[in-house]
Formats: sequence, structure tokens, C-alpha cells
Amino acid sequence: MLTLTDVQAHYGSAHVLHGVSLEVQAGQIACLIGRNGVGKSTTLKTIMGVVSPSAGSIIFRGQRIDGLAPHLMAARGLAWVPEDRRVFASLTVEENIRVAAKAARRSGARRAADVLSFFPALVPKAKERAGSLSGGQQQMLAIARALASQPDLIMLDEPTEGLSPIIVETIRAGILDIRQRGASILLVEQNFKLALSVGDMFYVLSRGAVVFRGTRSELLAAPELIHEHLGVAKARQSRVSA
Amino acid sequence: MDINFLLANTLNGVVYGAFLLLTSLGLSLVFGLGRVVNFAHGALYALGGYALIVVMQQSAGYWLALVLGPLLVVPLAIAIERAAIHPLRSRPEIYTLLVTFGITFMIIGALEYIWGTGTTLVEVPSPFAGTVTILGNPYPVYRLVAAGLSLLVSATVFAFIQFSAIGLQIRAVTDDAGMAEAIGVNTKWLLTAVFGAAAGLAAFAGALGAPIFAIHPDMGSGILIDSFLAVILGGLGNLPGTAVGALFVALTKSIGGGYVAEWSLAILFVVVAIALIFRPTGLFGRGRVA
Ligand SMILES: Nc1ncnc2c1ncn2[C@@H]1O[C@H](COP(=O)(O)OP(=O)(O)OP(=O)(O)O)[C@@H](O)[C@H]1O
Ligand SMILES: [Mg+2]
Repeated sequence: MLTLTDVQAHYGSAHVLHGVSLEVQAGQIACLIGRNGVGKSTTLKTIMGVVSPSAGSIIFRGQRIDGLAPHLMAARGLAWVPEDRRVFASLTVEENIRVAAKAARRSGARRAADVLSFFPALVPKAKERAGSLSGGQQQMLAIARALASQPDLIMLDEPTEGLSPIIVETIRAGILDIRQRGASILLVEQNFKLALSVGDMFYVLSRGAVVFRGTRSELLAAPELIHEHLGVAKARQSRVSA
Repeated sequence: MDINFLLANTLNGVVYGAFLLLTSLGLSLVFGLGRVVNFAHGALYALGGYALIVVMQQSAGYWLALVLGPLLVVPLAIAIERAAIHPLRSRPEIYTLLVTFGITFMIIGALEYIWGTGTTLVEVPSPFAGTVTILGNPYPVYRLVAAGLSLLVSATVFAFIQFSAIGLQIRAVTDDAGMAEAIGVNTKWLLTAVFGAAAGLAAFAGALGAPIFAIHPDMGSGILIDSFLAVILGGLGNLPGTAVGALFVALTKSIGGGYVAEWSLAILFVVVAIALIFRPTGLFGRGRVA
């Protein structure tokens, strides 16, 4: 589905990705984990074309996509939920979904009602401005918006960060639902327990490079790796708000 | 205070406000979409006036020229956007501001070179040459007709932004251009198209106003400044706010200017400055000031 080979990226003169290689198989949830500032968000932005890779290749559904503009990535079936959600605040919930369904110009685009079925809590909010929603509702909307174009692969950047346990559970169920309905997922997640409970494949990123790749049991068999690279995740789990 | 004088100035203010609305809408749209501060907007307004003359010289009537003239300006504006603004999109706003400032001088220079620095009068089109009586005072019919047309076109633009699929994309890009691009909106081409349409609106205003304000190469400077004031007051990129801002600027200018003509711009700047001290993001701002 998606293959990154030795992808490098810079912000100006700052070298952030030093050769990231990873794969997401069709119908799988691949988790990208690692401490703060190691380049997880940058990896997703580079796949989406928001950041241009300076070296390496990105192959999506058999075609090279590195260097394309983001709107072309969306048209090919990639969707991205950024870490700060970035819903269109002045648009209604329904408009947020409708604009995404149309803009990507994909044949299987979903209707708003279908998308909202992933998150029934949003249904009564359909006519409200997205900017007036709570953080948890905005997160659900950001995911729903990404689903609107019926993408083949959806990238989620810390979708549960800062949310209450009930909302986290809703989002976890939504993630499983997305896989169930056939899309692949690349998940960046600091909530280690949640990542373990949904992930099929795990990649640990450290200073812009993948230092571990393996299944759940392979990851759990390496406690010193978990301690060294995911120590922050534990502290972060307790930081929860509404 | 002479009540008739006040009435005439108020009417003139409303008429001017309707023109200002047309020019401000385009300015606001382009800023909202691409954070492009388009200083050439006034020159495009002037080009509309001259395009009107060019078409009328082909023995077309005023109304046909009013439609065709602005349409001639659109492809020119699109070419300007692709050649001069598009390559600077990832730079800070000051780059496009300076480039459009330069383009303004090029356009004005070209107009002076071809048509000279003089003023060209355009006759008021025949059925509306007379006056109507408003509260016992005669007032030129064409001004009211032109204001009505301006409002109609502006309302159409509003409806398009609010209800069409492209309008929805424009609003999404105005909220968050990077995110809109990531869901599939071709933001660069959308800006090019909107820039062309905004130029068409400005040119239409220039052509529509020609029988009232006359045509000269520098005719766009005043309305450019007033449009910027309207857009800033309304909250950059905020269309309904821009509409109120346009009316506010026009009324302040024509009513204030009616009594102390040479001070009218100064009065306006003071009023806008005071308004912005209390509402730094404009009267209806959404925090768009970078
Ligand atoms: N726009 C930017 N300009 C310059 N440097 C940046 C920019 N965005 C991120 N960086 C730097 O790049 C590095 C990787 O950032 P990135 O956001 O990808 O990390 P992350 O793994 O997602 O971290 P977090 O867990 O905090 O979200 C960090 O050192 C960060 O400071
Ligand atoms: Mg991040």
C-alpha cells in the first residue's frame, strides 16, 4: 500500500528525517511511535507532500508520489489528520465533510451522513460551526473529514492527545471501524497502551530514523527499547483534559 | 445645517459605498485566499474604465461595453497572477505587496502612454440621463441605477461564496489554506481564478462608475485606499464585515467630506485608527491580522 525508502527531510537547514523506511500493508494499522521531536509528524507531512522530501522515495499503490503537491496526494487516496486537528472553523460540521468529499475528486466519495456514521456523536452537531465544537468533537470531525473522500490510507497524528478517557475510547473504536471498512492506517500515537491495542505493525522512530520495526509481540519482547524510546509516552498518558 | 446638503452627501455616500463594496470584496477575497495584499487592485479598476472606452470605440453601446470591457481585464489579471504573484506564493506577504505595487505603476504608466494623462468623460447611458426627485431634491438617476447594479453583483458574489461548491472551497482555503490543499483543493489554481474574478469585479466597478467619476489613469488610487480601509475595518478576509466596512468608509468620507472636504481622508484615517485600537482585528475580525 505505502512504502517509504530512506526518506530524508529538512526544515530549512535543519535535517529532521535522516532516512525513514517503513511500510503500511493493505488493511493494516501501522503505528509510528517515539519520543517528542523525533520526527513523527514530519514523517506524515512528508508523505502528504506538505513537507518536500529531500531524498528517498515514497511509493503509494505502486506509484511514486514523492514531490507531488498535497492536493494530488488526496486525489490518489491519501488522507491526513494533523496533530492540531485543523478543522475549518468557520464552516459547519457538514460543510467540513462535504468540502473534503468533493475536493479530492475521487469516485467513491462518501456522503456526509455516511461519514457521520463513524462518529454518531457528531450527528446532532451537523449544522454547527466547527469552531464551536469541543476538542474531542473537533478530533472526531477531523477524522470524519479525512474519511469523506473514501481514502485508501489514512494517517492519524496523535488522535487521542489531550482527550478524556471516554473520547479516547470513541476514537479507538472509530480507528478499528475504519480498518474494518477496508482502509489502511498509519497511526502516530503517544498513548502506548492504545497503540498496542490496535496496531498490527510497529515502527519506533528515533532522531529521524527507524530504530525498530516489528509486530506487537516482537515489540513487547524488547522492554529496554520501550523504556529508552517510549519513556515519554507514559508521562503523557496522564495528561488528560476534556 | 442644510438638510438638503446632508441628504445629497448621504446619497452620494451610499452610491460610493456600493462601488466600494465591489472593489473591497475582491480585495478581501484575494487576501483571505492567498494572503496576497493586492496593491494593483486600483489599477485594475482603472483598466476597467479604459476597457470600457476601447469597446465603445468599436461602436458598441455602453451596456455591451460594460459587460465586455471587464471581461477583457480578466485574462490580463490571470496572466499577471501567474507571472508575478504565483512564483512568490511561499514568500512573506511583503513580496506580493511590493510586486503588485510595482505592477500598479506599470499599468498607470501604460495608460498614460496610450491615452495621455487627461480625463475622459463617458456619457451617461441614454435611458438614465435624467434626475429623480428625492425628498424634493433632484438626484441623477444613473447613480442610483449604478449603485443598484453594484449591490446586485455583490449579492451574487456573496451567494456564490455561500452556496456553491467552489465557494465552499474558497471558504475552506480562507480558514486554513494548507489543510484545504491537503484534502484535495488545488489552492494555487483557485487563487489564480479568484484573482481573475476579483479583477473582473474591480474592472466592472471602474466601467460602471465611468459616467459618474470619469476616467483617468490614476482613477484607481483613491478607491484603492478606501477599499483597503474597508477591508481592514471589516476584518481581513471577512466578507460580511467588508460590506459593512465599505458602507462605513463611504459614508464617513462623503458626509465628513461634505463639510471639510480637504480633511475627509484625514477624518477617515482617524476614525479607522480609533476603531482598530478598540478592535485590532477589525470591527468583525476573525483574528486575520498576521
Ligand atoms: N516548521 C518547522 N520548522 C523548523 N523545525 C521544525 C518544524 N516543525 C518541526 N520542527 C522540528 O523538527 C523536529 C521533528 O518535529 P516533529 O514535529 O516531526 O516531531 P514529533 O515526533 O511529531 O514530535 P511530537 O511528539 O512533539 O509531536 C523537532 O526537532 C522540531 O523542533
Ligand atoms: Mg508530532
